[in-house]
Amino acid sequence: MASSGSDSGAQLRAEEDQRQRNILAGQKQVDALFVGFDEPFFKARETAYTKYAVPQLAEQFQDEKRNLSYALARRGLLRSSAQSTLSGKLEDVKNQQLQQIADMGVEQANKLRKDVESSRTGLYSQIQAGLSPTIAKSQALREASAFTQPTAFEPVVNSFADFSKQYMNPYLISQYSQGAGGSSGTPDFASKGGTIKYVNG
Amino acid sequence: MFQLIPLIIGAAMTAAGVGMQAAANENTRKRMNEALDAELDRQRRLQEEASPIVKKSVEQSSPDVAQQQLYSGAAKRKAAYEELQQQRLGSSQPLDKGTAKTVTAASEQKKTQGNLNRAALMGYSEWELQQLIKNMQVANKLGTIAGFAEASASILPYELRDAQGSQANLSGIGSLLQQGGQTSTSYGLSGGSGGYS
Repeated sequence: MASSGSDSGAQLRAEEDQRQRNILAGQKQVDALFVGFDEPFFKARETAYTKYAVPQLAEQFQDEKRNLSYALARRGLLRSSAQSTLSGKLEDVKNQQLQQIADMGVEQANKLRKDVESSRTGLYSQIQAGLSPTIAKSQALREASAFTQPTAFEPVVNSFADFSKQYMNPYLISQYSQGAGGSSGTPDFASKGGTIKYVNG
Repeated sequence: MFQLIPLIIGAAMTAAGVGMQAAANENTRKRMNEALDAELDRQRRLQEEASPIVKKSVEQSSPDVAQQQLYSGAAKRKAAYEELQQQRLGSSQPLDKGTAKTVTAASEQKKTQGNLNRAALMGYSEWELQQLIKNMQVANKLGTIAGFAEASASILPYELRDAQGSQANLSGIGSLLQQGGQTSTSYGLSGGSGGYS
């Protein structure tokens, strides 16, 4: 008898409660699907990149090493201090390039990690905007599977180009000039070499 | 002359009407308070849910945690560098065994130091990543809670309106009784002439 007014508030409350349950259920489904994106998954992306890049670097390194050997041999500088200096420099450049590849691998994994998290955020937003848990699940499945697809990596460009231009060629030219009694504008590191010293001759 | 019976009936009806209206008002007030209390309770629970998330997030943004993440990031990078540098690049052989010996000791030290320096620098990337992901996850959780709180609060006016209207019947009957009582009292006071004059 006492109550006769509208119950629109109660209806809205019931609908809101149901909406919140749907959102939580949808988020749980997304989280359950994304649980596979764990440390080993991201590490695998890093490893995939390094496995892709290191052989390319190895090939370029071998080529550069051969170039160095030929250049030294042409000038009669094998087993000289020039060889020792340039070999050391080549080794440094190789190590720096390996660092670069390792960094790129980690960055690939980190980017994937960010993408996964962005995707999760996007799905959460869609669920809150009214996406039903069932549709959210299928969308999450689609997005999750996209992350497991192989990604095309950029090829490793000539990593030792700078070594030839900046170190090997100027150094050998400076050695030749000094050996011939001339002078030249040599890079700083090369000036340490001074005259050619033969070791283990 | 007064007519006693209509006066008594009128007084009784007026009293009943006033009482019913008072009861309706009291019930309305009670229901409105209940709706308000329920909403405040919901908001409080949501706030209690959000508070630890915010607290944890703030703690995870502290300089101490940043230091740990930088350290962990640097260690991870250093391990990655060393793992690759331990690999032999193809059929890599020293150009000359003799010179290689002189090169190795110095370059090993240089390599180790280079790895440490670069790893320390790149450790910041790990810290940024960890903070970014943490913030995204926290924003997701807080966004959900805030959305719930906002939606819940938006329903309260409708619930209050329902509460206000819920006692309309009781109030209406009370009002009718009051009017009837007043009419009956007027009739009794007029001596049954049906008017005041």
